[in-house]
Amino acid sequence: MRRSITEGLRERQRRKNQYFISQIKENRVKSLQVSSEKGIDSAHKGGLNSLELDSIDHRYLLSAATDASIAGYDVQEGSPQVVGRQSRRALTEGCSEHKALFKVDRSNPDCHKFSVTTAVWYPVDTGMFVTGSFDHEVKIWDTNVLAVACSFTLPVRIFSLGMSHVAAAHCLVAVGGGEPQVKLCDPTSGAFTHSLVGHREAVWALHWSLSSEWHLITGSCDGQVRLWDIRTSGCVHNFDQHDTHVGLRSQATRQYRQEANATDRANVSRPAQHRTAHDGAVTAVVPTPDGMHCLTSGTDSRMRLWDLQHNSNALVNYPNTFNRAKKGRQVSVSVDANMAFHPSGSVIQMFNTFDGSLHKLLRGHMDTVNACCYNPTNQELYSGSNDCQIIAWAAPRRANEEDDVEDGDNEDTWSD
Amino acid sequence: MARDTKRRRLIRIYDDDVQSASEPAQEGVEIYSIVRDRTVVDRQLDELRLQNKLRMFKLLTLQDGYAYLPIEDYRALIDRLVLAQQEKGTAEDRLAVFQWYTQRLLPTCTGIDISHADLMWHLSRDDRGNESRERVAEAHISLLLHVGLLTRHSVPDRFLFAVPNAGPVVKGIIAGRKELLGMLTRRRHPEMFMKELEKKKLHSSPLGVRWHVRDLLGSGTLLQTQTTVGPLLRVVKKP
Repeated sequence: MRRSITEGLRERQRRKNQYFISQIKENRVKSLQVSSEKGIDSAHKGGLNSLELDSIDHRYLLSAATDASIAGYDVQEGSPQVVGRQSRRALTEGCSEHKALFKVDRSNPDCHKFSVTTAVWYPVDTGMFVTGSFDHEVKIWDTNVLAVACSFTLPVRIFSLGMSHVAAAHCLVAVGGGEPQVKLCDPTSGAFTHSLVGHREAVWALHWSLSSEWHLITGSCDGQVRLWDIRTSGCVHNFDQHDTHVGLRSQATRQYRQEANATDRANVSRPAQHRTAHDGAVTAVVPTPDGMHCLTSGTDSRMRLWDLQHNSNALVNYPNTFNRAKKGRQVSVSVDANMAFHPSGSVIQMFNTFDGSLHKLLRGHMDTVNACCYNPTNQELYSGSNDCQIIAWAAPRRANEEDDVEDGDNEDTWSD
Repeated sequence: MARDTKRRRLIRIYDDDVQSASEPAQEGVEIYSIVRDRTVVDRQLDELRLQNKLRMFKLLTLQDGYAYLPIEDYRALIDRLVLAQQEKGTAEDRLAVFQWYTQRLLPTCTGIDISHADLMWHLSRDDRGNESRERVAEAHISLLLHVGLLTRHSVPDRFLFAVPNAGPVVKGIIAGRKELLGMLTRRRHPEMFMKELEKKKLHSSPLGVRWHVRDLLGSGTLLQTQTTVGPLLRVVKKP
């Protein structure tokens, strides 16, 4: 089939446009700094534990804190400024302040008793969200009336929970807590459907796979990262840090291993229960948005990238990822510039996901950062820390114009 | 082509360090201070490991520490062990296990540990993959354990590959790190010129100041900055 010339030209233009757009996005991500236009007014009196942005229009940010409070913010439109009252922040022109749209705290009869460790949106719409707390309860909230619609009680503290973003056939909530079993709660029936048995210690981090609605990835304190298929019993794969990338091996290595009659994987005989992904507790598990890779971070101060196609270690070395967490921590990934955001102490490190080079350090928090959440719509990052603050990170808005003006000034002075 | 030259460079770095440090065992962090791209280092080391040009050992006393040893050095080490055992008067049929270990086991098993069943299988297999005439007995394996080529693991029924007599070196590494860091942090500003530091002597470590500076640079504990009077080393504050 031959295409007409105009069609071809149009196609070329479209590709150019797309490339241009992706370049702009990449530059915006790479120049993140404390946003001078957006201030998020944190409603919490305790350290932030988790942040999540709704997946539909990336507008509502849900935060959970150690003072047992939960709050929601609108990150696109600022709150209306009250005339005649002095705001706490000195606002300059073009800045917006984002106050909490709603807050669940001690005044609410349904509120949690202890620190809320995770709060996630119902992936389909923002009318519902799920929270898990140290008071052994998982609660499902109605956002409009801020009342509990359904709750599950576990025998242990809850560290992490998640709902699948790609699920069409189920709406299960996976819950990881102080026990080795991962429980799956079904809000439609109000009961636990099954537990996934295999870990030996508490599960601090879990995330549903983004490529299949039945797959779940969990990380526990014994250093294991497991991939589960909830339709089958037992786990599908237990990731091993010494099981290295098959696809990247050079010709010489392949030839040697064939001649020596060595097994393709150096340690294929290692039984699944003895494999470890980290030498310490796993504090974060997050798949990349394309679902092909997965990042995990652990208290052995390492972050590792896993290839989910071969289920192997991609051997990317992220330098100096300091981590001494006592509970789960959020790591965030951006596809726009292939960046991974890793909280390390009070700074957030920005790494290139695929070669491990450190791009930038985001400094601004005064205490340990626990949560970070990337916004793909306008290339922003939100981070929450133990100093009770939520900071929005964005590219400087008028950077290009300012540069132009400076250049013009310089030319003038030189010509004189 | 580019990959090959890089690999050769890596090997040469090894050799240099081996001679200067007069100690074969090398740590992974050491190389990070020489080559900037750590991912490349990791991948090249992994390839060399899979080609059985380097052996990788887990050091249980160092957290997250792995030692790498060129296979020739490891073989030489085993030869020396055999001589020592012959002098002690160990029976010839038990000494055969060293030959099996280098010829049958090492080329195929390039991981950091091995299960008991695999160990028996690989030791008793000859070049063509058939069962050999000699029987492998528990006595052979206990000899390997006794000389320190294998050590026990926290996991039952598995053995870690090991370097015999690595203990004093590891002890030296830990003590040397502590001494060097102490030397720097005791000062008013925790920094010192490389030249000044190289004149000092470490009492607790046989490896020398240069080795330890490289080690600490690679692990990210020290930071090197160029000044007009030479490189300056500074202790990095933890975030």
